Amino acid sequence: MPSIKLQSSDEEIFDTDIQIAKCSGTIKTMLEDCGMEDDENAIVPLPNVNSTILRKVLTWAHYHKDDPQPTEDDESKEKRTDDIISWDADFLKVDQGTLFELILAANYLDIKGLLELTCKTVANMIKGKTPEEIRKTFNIKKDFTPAEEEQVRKENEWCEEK
Amino acid sequence: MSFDADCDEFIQNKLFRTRGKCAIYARQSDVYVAVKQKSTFRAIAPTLAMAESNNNVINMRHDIWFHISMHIDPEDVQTFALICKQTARLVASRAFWRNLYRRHCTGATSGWNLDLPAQLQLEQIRNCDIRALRALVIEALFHCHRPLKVRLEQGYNLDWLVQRIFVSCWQTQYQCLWIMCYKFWNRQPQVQRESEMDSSEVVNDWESLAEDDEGQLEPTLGNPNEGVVLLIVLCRHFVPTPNQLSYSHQEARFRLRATRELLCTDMRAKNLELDFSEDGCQNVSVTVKYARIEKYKVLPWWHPDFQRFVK
Repeated sequence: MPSIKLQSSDEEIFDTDIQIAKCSGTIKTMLEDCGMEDDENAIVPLPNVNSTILRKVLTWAHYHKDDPQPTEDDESKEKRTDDIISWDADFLKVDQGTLFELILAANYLDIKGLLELTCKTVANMIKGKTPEEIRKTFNIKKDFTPAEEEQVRKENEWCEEK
Repeated sequence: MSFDADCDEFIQNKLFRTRGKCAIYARQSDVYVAVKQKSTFRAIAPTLAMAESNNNVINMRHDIWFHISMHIDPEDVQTFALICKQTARLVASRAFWRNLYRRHCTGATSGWNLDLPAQLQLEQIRNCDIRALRALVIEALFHCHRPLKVRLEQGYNLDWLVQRIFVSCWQTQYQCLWIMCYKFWNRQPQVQRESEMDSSEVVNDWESLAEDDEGQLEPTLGNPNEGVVLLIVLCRHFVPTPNQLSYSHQEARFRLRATRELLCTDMRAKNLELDFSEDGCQNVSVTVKYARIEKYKVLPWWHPDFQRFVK
């Protein structure tokens, strides 16, 4: 099976099956536009993804290599946040830093499935928590003044459950 | 030995002695050695491009929040907006509301959704400004998104009204019933107008304008009825509005402090009592009593029946 070489930002080379690499829209376009598909020695540089994250991304892509490509219709469908399969759930048992880097990598590499999965995971972490609990979970500083906080609360009172 | 060679040797010595635990900043004139601060942030990744860590507090990059915001369920919007200013700004963006509409309200065929009235169809809301878009998407979500529809079916209770500002009251007669309508707001009407006037002022110093924008969150109110909640009371007897509550919108100063639903002595009907007081005064100054009411209903601005009653 033909393979290509992917180079992470820290210059590690990953010899990867071309079909797996092509689950990334970015890599697929690079290969097609630059005519690199037939050149086994060609190296695809990925300056925005480090080796740790690229390894995770390729593991995910390998597991999902036979998944159908999402269509435009799928994109406009209501996105459920409770339909994550157990393999994916285990795959994303990582620290928050890695999870956020996976979001950025999935976006940069244009891997819709992984982007959706990682964002859903964070959206699920937010569900059922108060803003204070979320800030604590993600170590985020509260930067609202009391007046601003009250303004945002009132503007979005429509989703309060009473 | 030249000065440069001396420097090089000094740096090499430092590197050797500290086994790379120092960050060394060498200049031609002098050499500074600073001990690297070991980060105590537990969730650190090999590279921290996605976030800036400062005193254990994470400033998450805008694009990460953006991607997450595209997957937030409608019922979690307030919580998400209240995390920090970045998330609040995302919730005030056009992309956020278009995405919510696309995910939850777009119909299966050619964009039409039969659950939505004509004014909330995609074609109608496509070109409106962000403020109007936001209000229309919220209304549409209450038609299409199951958890929100359930809330409408269950109805809103009187507690929803407490502490709101009383704006006005009017009555209409329908056959043998009086329909009493109370209009409440969740903010001072004049405050809103002032902020609107501010935004339309001519500004000569554009730089100061940019600085002002940076720190403040823009109000995202577009629908003039946003923030309004109506209380509709149906009763057989006319009850006049107390004089203290007969004022214009601009003068709104009374708040609803408490409500009571009391069973009549014959246990066949209910009485409704509403306590109002002026802002800054905790003692009840006006109580309106409705005896033997037929029904009451609380209608927030996103309720499909709201437009039938609002004035």
